[in-house]
Amino acid sequence: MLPPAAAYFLAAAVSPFLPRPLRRAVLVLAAAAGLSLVLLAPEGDGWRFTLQQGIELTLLAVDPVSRTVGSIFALVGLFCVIYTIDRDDPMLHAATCGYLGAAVGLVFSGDFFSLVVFWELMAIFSLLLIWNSDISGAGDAGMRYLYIHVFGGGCLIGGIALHLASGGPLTVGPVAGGAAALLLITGIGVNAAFIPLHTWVPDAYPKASVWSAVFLCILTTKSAVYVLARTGSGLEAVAWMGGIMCVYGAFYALLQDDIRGILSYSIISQVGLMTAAVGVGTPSAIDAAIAHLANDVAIKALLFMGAGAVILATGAHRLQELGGLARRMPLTAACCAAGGLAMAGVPPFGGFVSKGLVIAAVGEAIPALEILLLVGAAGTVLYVARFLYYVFLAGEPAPGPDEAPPSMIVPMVSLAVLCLVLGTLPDMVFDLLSRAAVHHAYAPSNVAGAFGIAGGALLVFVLAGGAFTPLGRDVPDLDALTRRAGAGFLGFCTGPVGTAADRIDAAAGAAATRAARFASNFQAGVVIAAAVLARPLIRRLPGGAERIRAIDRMRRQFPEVRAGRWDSQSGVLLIALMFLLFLVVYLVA
Amino acid sequence: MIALPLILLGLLAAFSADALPRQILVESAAGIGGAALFAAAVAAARALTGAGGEAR
Repeated sequence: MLPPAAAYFLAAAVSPFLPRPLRRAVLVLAAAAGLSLVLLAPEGDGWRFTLQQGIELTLLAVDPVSRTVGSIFALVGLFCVIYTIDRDDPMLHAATCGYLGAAVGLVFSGDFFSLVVFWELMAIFSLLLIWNSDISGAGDAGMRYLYIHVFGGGCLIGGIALHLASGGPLTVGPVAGGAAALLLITGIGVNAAFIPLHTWVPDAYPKASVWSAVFLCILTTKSAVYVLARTGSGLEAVAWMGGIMCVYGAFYALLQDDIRGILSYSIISQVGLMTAAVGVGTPSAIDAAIAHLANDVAIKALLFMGAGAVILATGAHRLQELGGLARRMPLTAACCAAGGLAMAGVPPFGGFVSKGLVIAAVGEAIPALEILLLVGAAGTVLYVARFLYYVFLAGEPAPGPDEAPPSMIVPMVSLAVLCLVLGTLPDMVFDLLSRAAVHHAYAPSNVAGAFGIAGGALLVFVLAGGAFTPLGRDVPDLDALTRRAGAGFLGFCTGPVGTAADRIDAAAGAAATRAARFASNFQAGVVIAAAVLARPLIRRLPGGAERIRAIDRMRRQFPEVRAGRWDSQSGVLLIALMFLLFLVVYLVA
Repeated sequence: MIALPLILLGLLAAFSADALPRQILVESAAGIGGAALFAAAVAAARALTGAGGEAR
């Protein structure tokens, strides 16, 4: 059976050359074929071949974890393809298929070589998606995205290289501690938006087009969590990083006015929950992390789709400019409410099950971290309430077209139903969740606890509403510092360093001019130079005055020595001098 | 204003004999406490950065 990624890559290669109706059919068929291949792939390793002696590649490593993650990527990817199908943009469709193919390929990679290749392909296709936008600042955000992901990719490759050099296997699996693990986790941390490597998420995602963003929000960060679970689980520092991300993301989500900015920080917060569980590293914690990953893929795709529909309908993207849209866009509002409730962990949506399992698994291992996650959960309720209230409930809707088109509504409704199914029938959906774990999630105390947290946080939202009103502008994050430092560095380069470079250049130019004059008639030049230097000595010699006159005659005979011409002769001389200098340095050293 | 329900819930939880109501009270208190922390931090950040805002 073919690796699922092949279906997506084939569509990416072919679709730009097809007429629009055929292209639409090919895209949907490819996404459906990819999903079928994921679901039907036999358990175990397939598509193994030897690149060269000792390097055996595995393109289809299927186990419950990879199948769960691959299935949710492919299923939600199909909905995302349908969401974009009315858009006549061959570049968008090719890049989205390539991006999906790379993500699914990464999930089923059985060896580090394939994993790195798919990891980098994801970075390339996602960058194309960010740049494929008319929104102001997308180009610069894409460049910053490129820089940070080049750094992250370099760290990942460095970590894997060290792992292999120290005798580690090529098969994807845990990487032993030390520099290899540090580099690997840093590389993964860039994609998983570890603090302070996270700023590319709220920088790039709100500037991507409405259609690109629905793919971006589901693949890069989640695939990083998956790779972390495969290679770097069970590290307490990683677990604490997850806790910090959970609270930090929720805090900054409350300080955003751009609706996709809120959702971008929400990604960081929810990925923090997954990271905390992966950091704990027990089998139940890893299962909970993967289950939450699957839920968050569906939730984020749904909410980014809803935000996109709102932006297209109103032309506005800030809370200040929006409001009351539940009357104009009731279906979009209902779908976003389902996504929001799922993200807030309210029963019976999927987020409730997986978030409960994550917090329980983390609490068993590190009780103090559980408190941090509970605080983050309260923050999630707050920013979900703020998003839903100020977009759909508060104020009067601006005049304009009503509900989103069917190509957008159908995937949104499908994802809302999926969020409900993931919550009501989780053990049927996740290969890796046991029935006992699901029953534990639905224990009366957990259900009551979830409603308690949500109710408590909502009470604060109502009582302290002034703190959560729309903002005049977004509150700057750490990237404001790095951008200021970068601007300062550029100023330093173009200021003092530039002036010094100009002076050195001028001095070198003057020296070269003198050398050129000297070298334009090398023989005469050497004699004249030596004679001029030795003039005081020559004057004191017997017949010195006559000799001085002879030198002056010679200088008049060879005026070109002072003519200042810069010809090939002098160039050759300079090169010869360089070689001489090099020889001296070489012999001395 | 937020402290009042928090104190009430805390007292009720402390004197509750049954496990389930107690769990609800504790989690509600956690929700209120966590959200109150966010409210205070967000208000401080808005004031410090001059991000402004509007009431609706």
